[in-house]
Amino acid sequence: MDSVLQTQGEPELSGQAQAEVEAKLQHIFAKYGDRLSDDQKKLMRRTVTSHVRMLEAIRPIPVANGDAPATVLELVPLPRRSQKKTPRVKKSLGEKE
Amino acid sequence: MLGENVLYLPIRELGAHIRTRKISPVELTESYLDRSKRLGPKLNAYVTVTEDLALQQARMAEKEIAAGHYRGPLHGIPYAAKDLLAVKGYPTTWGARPYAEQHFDYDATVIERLNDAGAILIGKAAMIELAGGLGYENANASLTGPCKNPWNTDYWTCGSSSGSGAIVAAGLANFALGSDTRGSIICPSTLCGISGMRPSFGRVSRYGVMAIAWSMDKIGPMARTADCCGLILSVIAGHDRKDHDSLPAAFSSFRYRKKEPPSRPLRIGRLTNVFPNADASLHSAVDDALKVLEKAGAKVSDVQLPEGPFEEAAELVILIEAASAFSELVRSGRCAELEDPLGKINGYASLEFSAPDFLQIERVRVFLQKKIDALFDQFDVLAAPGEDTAAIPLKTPPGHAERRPRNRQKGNSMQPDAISSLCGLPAVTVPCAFNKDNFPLGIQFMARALNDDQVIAAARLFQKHTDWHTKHPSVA
Repeated sequence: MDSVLQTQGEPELSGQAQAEVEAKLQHIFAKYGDRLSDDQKKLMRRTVTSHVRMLEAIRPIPVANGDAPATVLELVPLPRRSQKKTPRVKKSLGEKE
Repeated sequence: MLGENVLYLPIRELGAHIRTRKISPVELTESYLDRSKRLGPKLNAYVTVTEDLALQQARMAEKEIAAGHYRGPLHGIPYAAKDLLAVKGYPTTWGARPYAEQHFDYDATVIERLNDAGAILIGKAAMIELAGGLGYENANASLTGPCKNPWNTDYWTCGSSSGSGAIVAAGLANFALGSDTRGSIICPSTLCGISGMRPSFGRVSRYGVMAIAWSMDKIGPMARTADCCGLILSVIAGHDRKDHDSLPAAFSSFRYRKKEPPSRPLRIGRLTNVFPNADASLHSAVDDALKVLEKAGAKVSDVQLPEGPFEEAAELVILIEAASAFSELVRSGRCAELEDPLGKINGYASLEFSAPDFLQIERVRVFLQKKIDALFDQFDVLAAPGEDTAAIPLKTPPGHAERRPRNRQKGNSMQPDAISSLCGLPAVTVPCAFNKDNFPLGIQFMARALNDDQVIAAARLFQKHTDWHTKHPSVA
């Protein structure tokens, strides 16, 4: 295994998890590869591996159909909600000058 | 200019001097400003010193108090706000180059509340870029450079509320506001030897505050004592309909009363399975602190944090929510302008998380909440070291200075802040010793959600019987 993939003392990823890492990397590099240097690609491999490793700790935990997520829909009348002012950059970051 | 004997006073004492007009808010503000301008740059503590605003607010406070209109204990007290809080008329940089010129035309709710209480904003405190929202590996990850620890400027303050920690420790302002998604108040408060509090989730409004993870972000005080934290929290807490996650008034408002003695002995659980790799001095400092509390009448017994992927869940929630919060920055490619190597690329990786994975984490989160909540049937507060280290050198090689390594060794990483942050629990850290190299060590208390008064009571009881909180570094 690529030494970059594994942090010292951590168990190896399962084959399935490793395949997931490769698939995610392929997708990232296809989309954003032109923005990344070789060193950044190495760091990306380490980062994605870490992400998948954390997911592997969560996915096996059994949840039943009725176990709802810790997300809440706040039932507030729309006129009141629309007063919320979200911090915004003056110029959208995606916009060109 | 007023001396350190005044500038390091806790709010209650300083407020009494201001109320009785023994200390002038203008002179006090000028003294903190002078110190901020002289020492702030040496520590990289500020992004902006708001001198004009501070003097204007100080003159107003002086006038009002002279006219007999005293607003309360924060009236005339200078403070600093982490630079992710919107303040009209000044830049709000989020500590990051892509936002260096950002301005908002309104004040964050907490700033408004402190304005109403008559507090004086002296500056915008330096911070880790985006409060670490896209990850970071070293102390340089900030628009203003590495924030230096006033106890030893070769060392870091910790982050992400770095400037807030340095400012309070160095006596550049009386208190500061920080934000804590996962440890960003607790860590710098501990390493800077001050008292810092992360309130229960939803208690303090985040309107006008940069978001990292909407379901985990909290705003809280960093100050001299736990009592100061209680006084500040009582001002900044309370429902705000402009914050989606703000709790109803019945739960969010915080009426702080300095109750003594407690109606029954405080029940403290000493966490025995946290920070297993930490230096023994950190654990022995907590043991000594708990002996003090036992002598003061508390009941202390050992307890372990429950097993569970708290660490992973906390980290994943932050990564996924931050990828959304900063999606524009990431998709536009402007994340390349960040300082930190990890921050430049982490967003791309986080955009790969799936919705089913996110919902699985959020469903597991409910189980984890119940697990930790059950512990509080036996204990009022849980106690642990404030951090797993006493000092982080500024020049630590990349990948080692990150306070929260992404690749932490699995199964050996029980961290109280991951658990309490994930579950929205209140926590307070206060100084409880110094190590052999004269770095402050801290003890943290956490409690059941909304029992903010319990963590303050525990820390206050400790500070009543000790004087660690009166120590400060020689920075002048």
